Amino acid sequence: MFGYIRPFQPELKMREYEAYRSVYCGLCHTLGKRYTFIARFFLTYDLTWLAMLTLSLQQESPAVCKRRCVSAPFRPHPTCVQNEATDFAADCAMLLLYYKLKDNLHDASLPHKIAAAILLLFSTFAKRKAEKRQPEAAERITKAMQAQDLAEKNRVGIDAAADPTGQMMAVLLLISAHNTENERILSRFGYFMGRWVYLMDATDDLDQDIHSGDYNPFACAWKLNSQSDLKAARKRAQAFLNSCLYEMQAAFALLSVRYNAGVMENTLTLGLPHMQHTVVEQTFSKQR
Amino acid sequence: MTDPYQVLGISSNASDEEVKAAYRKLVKKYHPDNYVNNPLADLATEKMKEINEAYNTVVTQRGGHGGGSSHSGYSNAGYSSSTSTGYAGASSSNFAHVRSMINAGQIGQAQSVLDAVPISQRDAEWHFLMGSVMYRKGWVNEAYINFQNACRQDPNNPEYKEALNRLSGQMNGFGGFGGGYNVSNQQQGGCTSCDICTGLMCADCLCGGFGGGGC
Repeated sequence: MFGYIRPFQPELKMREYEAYRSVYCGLCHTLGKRYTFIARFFLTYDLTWLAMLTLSLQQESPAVCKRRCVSAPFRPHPTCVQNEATDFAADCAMLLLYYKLKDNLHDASLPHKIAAAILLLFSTFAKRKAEKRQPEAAERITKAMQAQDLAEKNRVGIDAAADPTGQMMAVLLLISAHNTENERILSRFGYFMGRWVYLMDATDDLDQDIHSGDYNPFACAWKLNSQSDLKAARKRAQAFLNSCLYEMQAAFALLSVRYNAGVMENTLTLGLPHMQHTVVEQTFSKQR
Repeated sequence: MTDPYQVLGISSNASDEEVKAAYRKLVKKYHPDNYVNNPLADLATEKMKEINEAYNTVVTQRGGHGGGSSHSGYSNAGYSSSTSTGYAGASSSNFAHVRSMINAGQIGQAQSVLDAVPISQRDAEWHFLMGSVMYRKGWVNEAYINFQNACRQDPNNPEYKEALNRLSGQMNGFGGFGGGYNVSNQQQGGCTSCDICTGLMCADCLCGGFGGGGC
């Protein structure tokens, strides 16, 4: 995934930050435990958020302990203990990483291609392990990736292009939460979250895709070329991103969340809009 | 029954003013207008009912302080009976069966019926209903285009106009759950009022762009 889904830190309360951090560190440790230390470099904000949402719907919040790690050898960080939600997020991280690397192998520049090829060795091994642990999620992710390839080959419209990612996120959220009470809400929420992530990526890559001639839903729908005003195009894309935010917030308001409501509301009302702004104004890549 | 104060998200020793403020905030959040044509509209209505009940209970418990009687009237009349999802009320509909399918949440079925209509017979209502189907599916771009076509073909229909205006509001970040505009402007420290103006101008263009029917 892409790391777009994260809270807006300056507006988090201290305890909210610690709670978020504990899931982040918990997922990182889970990745290390399940897929060796290499996997820990592929920790993403998006999946941290997935784990946090899943945890927040459960009866009991997971125990938190203080743990050291390579990036914090002296001051231990609060870390939630390994649990079903972090396990699932870690497995998904490995499944998604595999497809991301394969994608890089096709699209990226030469140094990136070489890096992707080397990492693919590790990733193939990790993916096999993850497939055994999460057969259903693995199947849905594979299907979504195939649908994505097909959609891009057929140069479909904006909605159809974003559909596979939307559906994939909806399904992953449902599997992760296995919460029948909130199924309809989670499904709509997940759909728009996936759609938002896909359209964010498309907005972010607009210039690059137009130069390289790769498929981009906005470029395709609005017949953009290198002479077009891409700044205006990104502003236009913002309307689609805004509507996703609206739908996510409308769905989230109905969800019976038990913990971490503050962090998640912060993400939806501040974090994502902020991220969206940086992508539309093209300051995101520099930040990264 | 659940604790009414918990429903309103306040402590039981909150002042009457705080109760009222909490209630207003929740009403704004779960207002049926925020969930028009949304497949989750029924859940929002339920939530609204719960909030109204909790508020009425608290007001009654407190012996009508803080304008209880007027407010119970307000809540009963206003929000419990949602007028928003009503496709059924449309008069002289050629697609009554499609409307009832959409209302029942049978989106796939409604779409295949609409797809089967020959292009020559696709009138304003067809486009409006197709837009509604697309919106429920999450295909916002198609929904927008269809609502636009509906308004172009029948500029005086308030139902179509409202659907289009609502969706452009959401796309411009002016919906009930305000979008990115405010936040990002604060971050950048840029000229906020200026951006609001351009935003409004954009919204106005979107509303007024077709067949002369402004908002």
